[in-house]
Amino acid sequence: MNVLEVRDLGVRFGEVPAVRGLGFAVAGGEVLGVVGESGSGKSAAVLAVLGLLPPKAVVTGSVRLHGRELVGAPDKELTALRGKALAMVFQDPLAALTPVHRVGAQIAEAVRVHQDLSRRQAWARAVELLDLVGIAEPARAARAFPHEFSGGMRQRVMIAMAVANDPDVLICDEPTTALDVTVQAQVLEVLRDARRETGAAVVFVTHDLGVVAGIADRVLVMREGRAVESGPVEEVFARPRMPYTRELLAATPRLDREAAVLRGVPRPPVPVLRVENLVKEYRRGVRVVDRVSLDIRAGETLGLVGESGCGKTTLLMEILGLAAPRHGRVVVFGRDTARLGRRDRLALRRDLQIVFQDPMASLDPRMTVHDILAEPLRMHRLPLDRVPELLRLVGLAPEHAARYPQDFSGGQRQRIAIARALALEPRLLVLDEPVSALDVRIRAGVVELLAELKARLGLAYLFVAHDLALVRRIADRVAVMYLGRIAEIGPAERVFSAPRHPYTRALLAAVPLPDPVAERARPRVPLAGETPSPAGPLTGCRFRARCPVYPGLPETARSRCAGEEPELEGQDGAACHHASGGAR
Amino acid sequence: MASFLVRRLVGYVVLVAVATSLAYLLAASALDPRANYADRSPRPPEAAVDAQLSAYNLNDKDPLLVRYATWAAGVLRGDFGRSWNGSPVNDDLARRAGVTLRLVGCGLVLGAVAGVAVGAVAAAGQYGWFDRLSTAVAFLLLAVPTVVLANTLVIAAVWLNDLTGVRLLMVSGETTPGAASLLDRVQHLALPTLTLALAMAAVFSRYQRNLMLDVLGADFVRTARAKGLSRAAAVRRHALRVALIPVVTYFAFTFGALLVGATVTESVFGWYGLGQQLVAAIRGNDVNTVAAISCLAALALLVAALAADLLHAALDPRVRVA
Amino acid sequence: MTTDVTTEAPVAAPAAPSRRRVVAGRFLASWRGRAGLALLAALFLLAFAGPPAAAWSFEDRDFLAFLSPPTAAHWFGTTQSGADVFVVTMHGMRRSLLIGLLVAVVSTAVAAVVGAFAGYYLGWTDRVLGWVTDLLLVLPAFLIIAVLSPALGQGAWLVMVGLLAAFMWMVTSKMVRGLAVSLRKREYVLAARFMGVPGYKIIFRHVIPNMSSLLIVDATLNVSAAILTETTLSYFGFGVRPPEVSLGGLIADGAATALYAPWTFWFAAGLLILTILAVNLAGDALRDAFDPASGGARR
Repeated sequence: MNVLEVRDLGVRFGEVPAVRGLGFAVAGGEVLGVVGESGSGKSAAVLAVLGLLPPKAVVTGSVRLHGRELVGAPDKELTALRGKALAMVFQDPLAALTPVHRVGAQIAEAVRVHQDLSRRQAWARAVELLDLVGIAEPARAARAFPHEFSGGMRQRVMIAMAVANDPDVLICDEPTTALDVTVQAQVLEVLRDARRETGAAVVFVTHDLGVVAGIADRVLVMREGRAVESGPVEEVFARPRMPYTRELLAATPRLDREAAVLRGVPRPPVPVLRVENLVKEYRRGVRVVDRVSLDIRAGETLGLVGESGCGKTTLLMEILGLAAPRHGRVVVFGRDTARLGRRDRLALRRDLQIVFQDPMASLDPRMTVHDILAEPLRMHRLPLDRVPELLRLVGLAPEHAARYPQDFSGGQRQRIAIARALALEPRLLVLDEPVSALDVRIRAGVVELLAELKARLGLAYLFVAHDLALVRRIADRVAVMYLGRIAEIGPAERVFSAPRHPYTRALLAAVPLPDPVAERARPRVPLAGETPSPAGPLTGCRFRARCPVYPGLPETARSRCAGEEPELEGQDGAACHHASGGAR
Repeated sequence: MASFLVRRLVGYVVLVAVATSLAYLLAASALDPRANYADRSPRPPEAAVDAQLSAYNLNDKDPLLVRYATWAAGVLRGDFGRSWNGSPVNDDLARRAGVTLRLVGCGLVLGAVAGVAVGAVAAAGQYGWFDRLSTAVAFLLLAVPTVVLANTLVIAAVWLNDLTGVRLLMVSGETTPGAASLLDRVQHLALPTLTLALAMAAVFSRYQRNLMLDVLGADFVRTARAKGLSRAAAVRRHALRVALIPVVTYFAFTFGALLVGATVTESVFGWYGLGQQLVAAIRGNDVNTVAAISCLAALALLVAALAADLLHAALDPRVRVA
Repeated sequence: MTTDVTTEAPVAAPAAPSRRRVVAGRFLASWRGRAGLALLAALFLLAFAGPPAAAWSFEDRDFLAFLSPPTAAHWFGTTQSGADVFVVTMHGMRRSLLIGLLVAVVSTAVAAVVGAFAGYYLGWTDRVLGWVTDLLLVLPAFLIIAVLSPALGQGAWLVMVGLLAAFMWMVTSKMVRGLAVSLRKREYVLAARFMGVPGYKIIFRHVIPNMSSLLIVDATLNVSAAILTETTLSYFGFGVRPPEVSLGGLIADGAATALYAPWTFWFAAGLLILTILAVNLAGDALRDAFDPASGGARR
């Protein structure tokens, strides 16, 4: 019995159609995954189901809930249904919660809108719901404000709010996109529980094929406002019928079978960057980066992975600042940054350049592409006639120089950013999540370009990413960061096939595979908790609060973890007292 | 939070001290109390004038810094010195401050509340008739200088009184001498308060409207709707509550403009408040009175800023931890 | 893995029209923009081309018509001393418009530079500049200008412009600082820093140009704020000094005779209101034109 039926749904914003002729149906207890790249109209479609699009959007077609037509229904009727029969979980849980009300009050409000309860009863129910979604000390947590919660906890609150009235349909719009991979695994688990508890039909919108493979029963692929393909998830993943679906699947990197495309040719091990015991404090005693050591050799790619708050961005900024660090040493191309004059520092910048994550934000919108590429050349008094050559190098035409960044797509903008970084002919390129803001098919092209440039120009890369499958494809060596320290470092092959640190293992286990059969066959043991603040007291091993190994250890071994901080030895190993030598 | 407020307070006090000192130094060097004696007939002898001025700490032949030190020592004891004709500045100050405070207080509260309400309602029904009407009125009011507004109200009140044959609204002074009933006070208070409140309301309504429009599209308002709240409830409980926060900060910035507005209003309506006294003191080269009023103005600004800080913390849990 | 190249290499988006054009188009599409601009143009024309067209000059006194209502000879009537109200008002408006424009340009420029340096460098630069900003906010501007004005002497209206500008940039500078703090973390600013571009160049090349919309709108609104402040000062006799006149001084003179000779008050007051209305309308339309989220796109 289908709970929700959508037929011939159309959404227009003025003249621009966002959704055209979309149809799907979901039964109770079933999960429908809606997949598509940005701009495919997937979010507009689900907001149309809820009737929450801005008034200037025109919705046509039919949406039936238990056979009752919702399109064109009076707002009063929809208001009565929203939050009760139809509930929604949004993408960005910080923006989606009102900053000035307590978390408990916001959940209690959702309860009281539809149930005749006293304030006190509603509050008690809110605490109960917080407990249900796995928030520790729910009575205390209910009194907190949203900004006091981490991203994962906020998303749990959103889910608690959505299931408060036992909805028939639960719509999730990219609910885990803003979260780290280990937290994503936890939230997906909570969503699975919520579906089981409520028996709701779930519509799950995402761009991540791995997530869909893990959670959906059926899948609907969208492109440019239309349904491209739909069917049972195993069938679509195993035998995609449409070329677009095949393309998407092919472009998605897979952690379990990834061939390296970027491995360097063996070269003499000349270090281009050496970081020794680098420390960065924000306030006294709060070490965001704590005694980090690593090195990169010429022509090599070092992948640096870690979740948000692990200090990887701070580490990059410390390196790129080329200033003398308070503690530790940074040696770039054999020159210690503590002993650089102004002139030397400027000269050294030619060898060390960066490409940022967000191609929207990394190009000044008020400059033409020519001016953007000319800026580094002018600064270092190099001839400007290199601009056309740079554009060709990244696969763009020299005529594009006269345009503004806004005239280009995301992938093209990232190519411009790469061209700017290459203008000074650097030998080491720092890539800070260079493709994570791009759609999966565009991603593949940029990665290809990076591989090609590396081979042609003999560059070394410091590649920062949270996408482990991508790192596996690109890196020669990998460093895993946790809470300001390097947990594990080693050759990519070894780290991915035989991770030694429990954190590395958990991280790898949390990455969903874009393959329903393999993904569902994997044991699911989500890592508990979230990265704590570096401001807290840190003694012993800083991972032990979340460590899956620690609770099972004998007492003596545990006291070692609590009292003695494990150190990393050399350039291949793990900072763990109980590092496993072998299997995953 | 407490230590944050204390630090804030210390910063403000230093600012007020420096600002008041600067105002004194400026007034003492730019104004010329000696000129007041020049017009007297018979003209007093130079030596007598010097002695008189020196006695009041107003003699421009004494070094500026010495005069400043004398003045500052007095202020620290709570004595603002003497006017050029010898009367103590302190005498009238408290009563006049009360007059101004009543005017500014009524105008501010009335104007801010009305402005916020109008702005919020206008934004909730953007491009509706109320939005259009309130926008047009606000634009008109914003374009009318207080001077013109006050005089227009005077003209209108005189016309209204003539038309009805009853003295409904009074346009001069605080009370009718000898007939100071409550009604009489209200009749006197109405127009000056309206002058200040209308201008305030226009500013606040535009500001609140823009803030509301920014917030109405926010994700959390959509969440509130997704919970099943009606649009009106979502706007009231979530959008308005969040959009109120920046208005509070804005409040402190408008305070300076309000004091200038009070000066104009007092002059036009013949209220003997600080503003009126300030204008008279500048014209009369009364250095110590000018300095005293500038000190009070800075203090008032400090209180407004502090109140804004406290209100901000009360409204926004995010700043409480900082 | 060649999908990207095939779907992407030919530039997808056609060359978008330049930003300036888009903003101008949106500005002119709104009735407030059109009305504000047309009004301003008309007022300027009137102020600068009006007096030569009249039969009287600024210094003339018509001893045959004291306090005469508007006639064919005196379009706006005459004052108590027999001066032609039209010519005097136009002179006042000219001065008021010039003061407004100059003050707006100077104060916005100061706000942009102070705010951007404070927000970009933070640390000590920020503390010192922030303190100066706060101090000027606490100083009673009206009082200080009023105290200084008798000492200015005759015809020193440019000094008045400087004084007005000196007390008008602080609130904007605080906004600019806030924006600069967020812009300094923007990736194109970091990229410039990491290629070795010095801070002051980054401020003038990347930071200030990227707040131009705020600055332009603010400058527009400062025009009306400056005119209003000068009007209030002139009303008390602390503004522009004779023989120069501004609308504020004329309104002060006219207020005394407003009840029985309304023309002495209402022409000056009305033109002042029109001027400020026009500036405010144009400023508001500009803000909407710059802000892609406003206007049609907003709910």
